[in-house]
Amino acid sequence: MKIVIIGAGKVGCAIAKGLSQEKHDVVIVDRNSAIVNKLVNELDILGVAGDGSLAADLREAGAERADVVISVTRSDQTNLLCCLVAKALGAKHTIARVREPAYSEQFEFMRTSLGIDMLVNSDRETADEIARHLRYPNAEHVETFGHGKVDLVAVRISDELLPTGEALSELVKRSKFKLLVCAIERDGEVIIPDGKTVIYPDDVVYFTGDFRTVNAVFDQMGVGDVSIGNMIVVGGSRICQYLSKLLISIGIKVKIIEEDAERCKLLATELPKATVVCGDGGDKSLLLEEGIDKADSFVTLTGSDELNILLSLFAKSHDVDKVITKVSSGSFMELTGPLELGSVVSPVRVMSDKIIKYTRSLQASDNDSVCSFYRIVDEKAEAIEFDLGTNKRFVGKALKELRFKKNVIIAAVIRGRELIVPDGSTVILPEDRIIVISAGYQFSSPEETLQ
Amino acid sequence: MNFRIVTYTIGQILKVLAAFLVIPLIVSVCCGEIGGGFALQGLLAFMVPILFCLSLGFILTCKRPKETTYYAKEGLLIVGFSWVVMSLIGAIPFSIGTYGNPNFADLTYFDWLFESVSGFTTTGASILHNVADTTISQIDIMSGVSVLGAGTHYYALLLWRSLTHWIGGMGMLIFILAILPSSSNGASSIHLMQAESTGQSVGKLVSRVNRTARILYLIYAGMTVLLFLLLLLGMVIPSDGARTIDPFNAVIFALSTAGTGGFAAVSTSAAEFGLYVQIMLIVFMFLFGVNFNMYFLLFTRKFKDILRSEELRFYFFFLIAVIFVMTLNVCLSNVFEAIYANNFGAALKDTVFSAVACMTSTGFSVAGSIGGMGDFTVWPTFSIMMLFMLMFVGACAGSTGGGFKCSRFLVLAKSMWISCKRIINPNAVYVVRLNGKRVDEEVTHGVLGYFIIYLIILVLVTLILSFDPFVSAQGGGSFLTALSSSLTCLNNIGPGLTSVVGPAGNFFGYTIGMKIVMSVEMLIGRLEIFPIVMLFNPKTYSRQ
Repeated sequence: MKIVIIGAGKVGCAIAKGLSQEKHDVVIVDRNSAIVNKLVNELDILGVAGDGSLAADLREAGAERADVVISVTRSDQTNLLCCLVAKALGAKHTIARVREPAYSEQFEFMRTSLGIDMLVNSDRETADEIARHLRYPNAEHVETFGHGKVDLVAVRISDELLPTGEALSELVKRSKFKLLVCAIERDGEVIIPDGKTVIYPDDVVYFTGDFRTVNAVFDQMGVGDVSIGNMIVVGGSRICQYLSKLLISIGIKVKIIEEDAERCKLLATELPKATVVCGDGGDKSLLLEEGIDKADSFVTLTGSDELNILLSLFAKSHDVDKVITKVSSGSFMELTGPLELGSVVSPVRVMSDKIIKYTRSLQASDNDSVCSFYRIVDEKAEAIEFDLGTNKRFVGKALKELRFKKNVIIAAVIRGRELIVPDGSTVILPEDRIIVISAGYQFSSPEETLQ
Repeated sequence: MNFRIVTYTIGQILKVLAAFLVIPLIVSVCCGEIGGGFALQGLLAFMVPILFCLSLGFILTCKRPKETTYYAKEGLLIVGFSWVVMSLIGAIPFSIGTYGNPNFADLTYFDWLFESVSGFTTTGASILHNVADTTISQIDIMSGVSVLGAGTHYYALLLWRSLTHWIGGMGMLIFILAILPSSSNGASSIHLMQAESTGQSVGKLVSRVNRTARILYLIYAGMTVLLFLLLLLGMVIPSDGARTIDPFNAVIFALSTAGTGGFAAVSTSAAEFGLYVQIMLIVFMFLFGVNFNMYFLLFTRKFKDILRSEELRFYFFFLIAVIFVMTLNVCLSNVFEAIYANNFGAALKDTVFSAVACMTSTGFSVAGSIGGMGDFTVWPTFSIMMLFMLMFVGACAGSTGGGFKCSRFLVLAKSMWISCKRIINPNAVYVVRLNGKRVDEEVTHGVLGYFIIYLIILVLVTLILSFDPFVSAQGGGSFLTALSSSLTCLNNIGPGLTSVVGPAGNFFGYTIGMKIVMSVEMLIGRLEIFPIVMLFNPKTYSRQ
């Protein structure tokens, strides 16, 4: 597909990188020619130094024949204008990033009257992501599939849980629950397991099951004793506002620490149930005074990655059960693993995943539909949801009869409203959807997963 | 420095080079050359380098490097190394193929290395010196019998000589990028393209590097085939007493013109053939000197952008202007009567041919003999200096031509003009504009720096060449001989400006050491200095 990206900031770069790796024709437009030149030399993309809201510059970038135009500049208004101009020039689909909640609220109007196909609010998406983590406080990461029905939960195997290595088939036999291990991360490498794969302490294991099963498994494994009753948030950004709203609604007590007095007043007005504290979140004594050692969860949302990481390490040292760190810079994400920060959320990744997922489904809509697409395990593996329809190569067959490629696993079968954690004897029926987890491939149809 | 990727890529190049070496071998077998007395030698001449390339290529590429991303410096090193390796191997067929033949007894491996470098860098300067030697270039194709008797393999060698032009014109690494599937080389390959292409700024045509390379090669190959077909048409067009073109010579001319090289299969080059062939060569030499991006714009119907290109306009009008004054100069001098017998048409054709051949750095000649028609070394000094200037400016950036490049010259001229204006009005702000867009200071500084290094190399090599007894023997012409030899090598043109090294002369007279110096200079000129200079910098090989 031909894709034009306007704005070469963090998000723009991440999207450009992701999409160019998927063999799309990507053109990036930014006013700063130095950044454009640098990107063109680093990635397999074309660059235009210019203003994305000008028809002439968009024409030069080829927006007339573009399948998708994505505008992710700093300003909401510019993004909307870029999309309008691109649409008028003939771009098929447009995606705009907006941060101002008022714009997102009138999305229906924008879609029908202005022809903007998708609005992405990075703050809200990030808040959703964090809220998901707090729903499964014991997991390292959580991903959701099948429109919220399937959760892919990552757990770090501790020494107490599993003192020595054990084969996966033995482990599953011991457990009375039906769960499926989809991927194992070990020393930064991802393994798609089979029954013979041995799990060692310190592995991060990704497994699926529905909401109740997963929590039951946690109980049984003895890691499920954390429940979140209260939360401290440092940094009163827009993400904090969305997040607090979400958590307050499920009965969690929220305390917000924010430096700026004006911002505090605004937060206090918007969130009457939250406790807003005006002070420096980097001040140790203030954190202790506000009871960091008694907090169930601690979320760092300040504008500085360094401060966020430091605060999270501090919270970890005070035995806060669930620590979530926001890291915006993508370059050093792999370093956050060895630091054992717990969960790390990157707004850039949340955004780029969302947009890449959307473009993938646009591309796939011609043949077999990709219902959803996620990158997992540091973008080293992919989880794709396929709608099988009446596909003859799958329907009526048990999974063990199907010969899948190496490093491919079926994580779940979704039948209507029911989620099935499959085993070899699961038979595919018409209209089923399957979730495929794979490493090292780029599937766009279910047939490609077979040998 | 990622040395694994350097050796891996060179391994790939060796494998492709082996494939290219097979072409003349097949032609040779098909033409029935191999089968007579020289059969084994002809086979060996190509089989030895092919086997060497394949074995070394497979050893180097048997394991893919773990780290496949690399940066500009690796790109420069890969390009520099691979061109040296290609030239060294490219000389082997000549060396083995002519071994034992008394006509080539005085040519060593280093002479053939000069020929090979001259081929790959599309210079077209030759060391084949006397009439007996040029049997290699005087096989009578029409009768099907070479001067040396049947069963020789010299077609194959001549074809290989011109094929090196074609490979070197657009570049071997760009060829590799074009043929490899996209998954095997990532975004890093842009550095290879930048290091091998000509001109100060190399852009992608489409978002993928390898598809850009594929487009470039498609245009390149398409135009080569077109020229071949047009030359074949010359077989049915009357040539007024001159020799009619044949398929073999058409192939040789097409390959050499495409790379803006200059090797021909006959020692008298284009002078051997009729007017039609010469006009076709003029047109295509000009076309291959145009930035290939223009053809891409032509196919994507962006005609406005083509007209907007200042470089193209400069290239065209500068050439026209120089041809005009040169023709005038030649026609008003005594040469007009003495050589051309007051035939304006012939004089005009020769000035146009020489001007285009010099500016595009092709270097074909229309000189039948030393001092005869078309030998520009006997023209008035003003015309020779005009040719000197054309040689210096060179063709467009992004073409297969050599030289300093029109776009660089434009930037240089404009920034000099601005410096003058700044003296008059120190507070005014002036910017260099090219194609209606502002040129960054960084770019103008880069061009300026390039110009200075360029001059230094030109002068340095001239200085070295002046030690050569061959040069001192030229007496009054010794300065121009040394200078134009250096210029013709650095700009990859071919002929020099005095009779001994001119369109009807050759480079045999230089000593071996000088030939090696000139070989290095040709590589420097083709790769635009930095990849070769990198090879001589000890810091390149240090761990950090």
